[in-house]
Amino acid sequence: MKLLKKGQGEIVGLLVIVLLLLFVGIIFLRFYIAQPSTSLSHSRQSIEASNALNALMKVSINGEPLTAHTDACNSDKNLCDGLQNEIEAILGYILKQGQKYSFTLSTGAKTLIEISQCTTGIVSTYSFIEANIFYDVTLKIC
Amino acid sequence: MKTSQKMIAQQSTKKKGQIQLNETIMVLFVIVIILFVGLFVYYKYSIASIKETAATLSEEETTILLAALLVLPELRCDEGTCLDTAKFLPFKQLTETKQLKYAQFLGSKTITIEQVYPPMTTETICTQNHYQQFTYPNNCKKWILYENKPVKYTNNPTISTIVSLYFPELQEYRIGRMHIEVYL
Repeated sequence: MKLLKKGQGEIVGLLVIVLLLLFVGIIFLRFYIAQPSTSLSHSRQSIEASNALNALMKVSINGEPLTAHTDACNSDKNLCDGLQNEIEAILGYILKQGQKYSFTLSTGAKTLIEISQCTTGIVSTYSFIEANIFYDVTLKIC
Repeated sequence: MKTSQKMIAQQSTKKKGQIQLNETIMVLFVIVIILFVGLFVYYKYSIASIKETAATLSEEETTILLAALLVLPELRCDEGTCLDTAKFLPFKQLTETKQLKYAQFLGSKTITIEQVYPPMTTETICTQNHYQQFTYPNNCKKWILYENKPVKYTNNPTISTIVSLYFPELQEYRIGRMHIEVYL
C-alpha cells in the first residue's frame, strides 16, 4: 500500500514536469511560428511600381516625353524596337539590380511593346491619350 | 536490548525523513530553476518582439513619409506627380532655418535624392555653387534635402523609391531615387 502511494506520487511529479516542458514548448512555438506581416512590403512594392511607371512615362528622350514616342511606334512598327530598347535600358537603370518585371504598351486590342520576364507580381497601370489615340501601359514588378 | 533496538529504529526513521526532506528541497530547487529559465526565455522573446514591432512601425511611418514627400508643396512640381529640382536647395535652407518645425514632421532622418536616369558619371552633391554654373544639372548627381543625424543610434535602415524629377531650366524630366535613412 505504501509502495503504491509512493509510485503514484512519482507519477504525479513526472506529470508536472511534462506539463511544465509542454508549457515552455508552446510559448517557444508561438514566437517561432509567428511570421512577419507581408502587407508592408506589398504596399512599398506597389508604391515603387506606380512611381516607376509614372517616372518612366514622363522621362524625356531626345527632348520629348516617352508618351510622344508611342505615336511614332503605333504608326510604324519598326520604330517600336528602338523604343523597346530604350524602355529596357531605362528600367535596367531605375529598378533594383536583378529585379524582374513585365511591361506592356497597348492601344485597344493591339499590343505595341511587350517585355515579359515574369508572370506574377505587383501591377501598376498608366493610361494616356496621344494624337487622339488612347494608350494603356502596364508595369508588373515581380 | 529492547531499548537499543528502539533507538536504532527511531534513528532510521529520522534519517529516512531527512532524505525525504532533501529530496523535496531538490525537487523544489529544480522546479524553481525551470521556472526562472522559462521566465528568462519569455522575457528575451518579449524584448525581441517589442524591438521588431518598433522597427515595423518605424518602417511603416517611413513608407507613409515616402509617399507624403512626393506631394509636399515645398517639393512637388506644378503638375503634382513629380518633384521640382529647383525647389530642392531652397527646401534644404528652409529645413535648416525652421529646424524645429521640420524636425517634428520628419524626425531623425536623412533624405537624399539622386539622379539615376540619364546615368551620371559624377557622384557630386548638388550645392548652390553647382546650381549657378551653366553646366547644371549635369555637374552634380545628389541633393541632400534634409539631414538630422543623432549622435547615438543603433540602426539606420534606408528605404527608397523612384521619383520623376523635373528640371525647369531645361523643361525636361529625368528619373531619380529618393532615399530616406532612418536613425533608430
